[in-house]
Amino acid sequence: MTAEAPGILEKQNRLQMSQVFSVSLHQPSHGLVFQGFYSEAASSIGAALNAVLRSLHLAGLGCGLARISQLRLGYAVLLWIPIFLTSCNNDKIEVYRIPKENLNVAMERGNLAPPAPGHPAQWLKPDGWSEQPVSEMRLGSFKVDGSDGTSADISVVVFPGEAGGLVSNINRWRGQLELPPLEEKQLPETIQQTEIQGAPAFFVDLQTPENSSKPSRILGAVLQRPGRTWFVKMTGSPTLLESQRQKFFDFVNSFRFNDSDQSGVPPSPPRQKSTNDE
Amino acid sequence: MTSKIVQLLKPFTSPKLTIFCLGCAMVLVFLGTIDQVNIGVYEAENRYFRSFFLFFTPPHMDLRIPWFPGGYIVGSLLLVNLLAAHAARFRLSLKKIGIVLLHSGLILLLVGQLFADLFVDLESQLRLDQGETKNYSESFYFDELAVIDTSGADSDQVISIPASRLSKGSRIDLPVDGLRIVSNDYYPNSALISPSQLPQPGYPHLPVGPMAVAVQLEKTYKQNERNLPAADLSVFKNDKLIGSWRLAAGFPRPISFQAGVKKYEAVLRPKRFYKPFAITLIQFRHDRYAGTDIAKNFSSRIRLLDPSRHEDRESLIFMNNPLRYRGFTFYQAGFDNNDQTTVLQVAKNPSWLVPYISCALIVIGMLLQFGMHLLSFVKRRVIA
Repeated sequence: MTAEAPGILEKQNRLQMSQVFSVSLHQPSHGLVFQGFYSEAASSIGAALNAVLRSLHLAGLGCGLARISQLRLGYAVLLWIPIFLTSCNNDKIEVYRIPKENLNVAMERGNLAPPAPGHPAQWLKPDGWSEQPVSEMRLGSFKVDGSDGTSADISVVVFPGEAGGLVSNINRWRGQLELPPLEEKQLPETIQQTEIQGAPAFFVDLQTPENSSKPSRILGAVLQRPGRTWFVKMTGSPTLLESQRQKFFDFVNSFRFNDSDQSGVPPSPPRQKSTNDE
Repeated sequence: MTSKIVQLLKPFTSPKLTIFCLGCAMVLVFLGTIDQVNIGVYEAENRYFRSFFLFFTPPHMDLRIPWFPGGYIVGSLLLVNLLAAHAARFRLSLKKIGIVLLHSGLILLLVGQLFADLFVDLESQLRLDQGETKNYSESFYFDELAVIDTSGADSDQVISIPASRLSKGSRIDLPVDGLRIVSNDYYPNSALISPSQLPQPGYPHLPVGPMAVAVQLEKTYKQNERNLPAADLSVFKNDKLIGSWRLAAGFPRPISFQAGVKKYEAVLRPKRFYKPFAITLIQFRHDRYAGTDIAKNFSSRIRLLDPSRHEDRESLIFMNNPLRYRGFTFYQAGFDNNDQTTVLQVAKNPSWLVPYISCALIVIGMLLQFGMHLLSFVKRRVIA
């Protein structure tokens, strides 16, 4: 399908979580099932085998028909060619052009970045940080440039529940810096715990091992709110982050949550209703 | 020459073949109706009517053994049978006009359906939040891996690969820049869960994000659920590995990569059908009878914008009053999100009139045929 040039555009990817969570897991099983013509084969060998079998079936059918009706094989094959040609209608790769999407320009409104109405939190952006376009994952995204040409990236994301727990998330950050994972009992040695607006907040300061070829550092904060967990993370060169350390703490401490609002993370939305249902 | 053709056609003219085909069609309709309870209308249509064979898979095997002709075979045999019978026995006579009309109606119905199956776009859905504008609709059944070349100044090039081609081990050569995609793993349906929710540490999964892994689920065939595939893909350019990514349709966030000088994005998402115009939802209304929760009316006030045809107007879509524009029909189909989101069914079927015409032909043919019989019968009685 080719799309001509329309003026308005939007390519918006939305989370579709209606099926996510509250699921039962299963191992792939091969029950006694009837399968359709287009169903995927379980493996490549299976796929190849199926293709061969399929053509054998059709050839066999052609031969059978030819015999039954005393027709020549060619005639029977001719009969099936149009059907063959159409059998892979849904399987084609398509190439087309679409006009570029209009990007939502990030808010550039002074020092206080007022989140959009209904935003679940507010914060004060430190001087020298520039706002970056937010994405589906990031509720806040900032960049700060160092004097030596390096830059650091700051992200604010939120996930429902405990998001896998504190230990696994700290260890995930450690993994990004080539650090070995920690046991839960070792955790208090590396994290600093405070409170923000009455809920626990954990700060970490992690750095790649000294002999690392690509030295990097992460300043991270995990804020545990009722029903969801916030992650604020600054990544960049160790020297730049050293100079930004205080600003990072100030930034995280400036967070004010709007707990009455539950729209920060889309919870499983009610399943789409059909107008026939009512 | 003519006699040779007649001889070739002869085996297909047998009324026994007609009876056989009609018998098979009855079995198909019966089985399809019963199985529809388990697999839903759409999948039942695919398996029983839009297929060449019904397949049987013995337990624990990858074989697919055909055991019964599917709709395509029965339908095309019936069509050939009908055509051959007319070609072999056709004699123009006024007496037979009823039969001819009836059968041409039947032929038109069969050919029309085949045409619709082959050339008509699948139905899709347009989901719009209040105030949202879209110039594409999305398939409810099919997903695509969209590889998007974003290096153009004012347009993106989209390469849409059907998700069904991504089965484990498959290699797909893209028609641009020597790109190749290799599927390392593929789940036709998956759910996103947190890594800590895995039943055991080694449980097969695809890590799709910092805090989410995709686990395989059984394919769903329920009417109001969709499959959310997940895939582990590697991208090669001229046989050199660019990178490997895990993508999940449940989390359709594009990944980006660079191939040569060009920048690309890739995302696994519901298959999109772009339109040469855009639609904005102004307001969705879900009216209820006063004092009750009983639905009275569903309607979507939309704005249609088509710069190429200087079209910019509002329209109200409600039950039985779809919007028809440029061959597309938009029906009010559903709603979501506490009445903030409307779901419009989008259909394009240039042959929508065909079933009406063929049914009319069949009815006229039957009336003529039986009318003439009745007339001659009455005449005989009068004489007697």
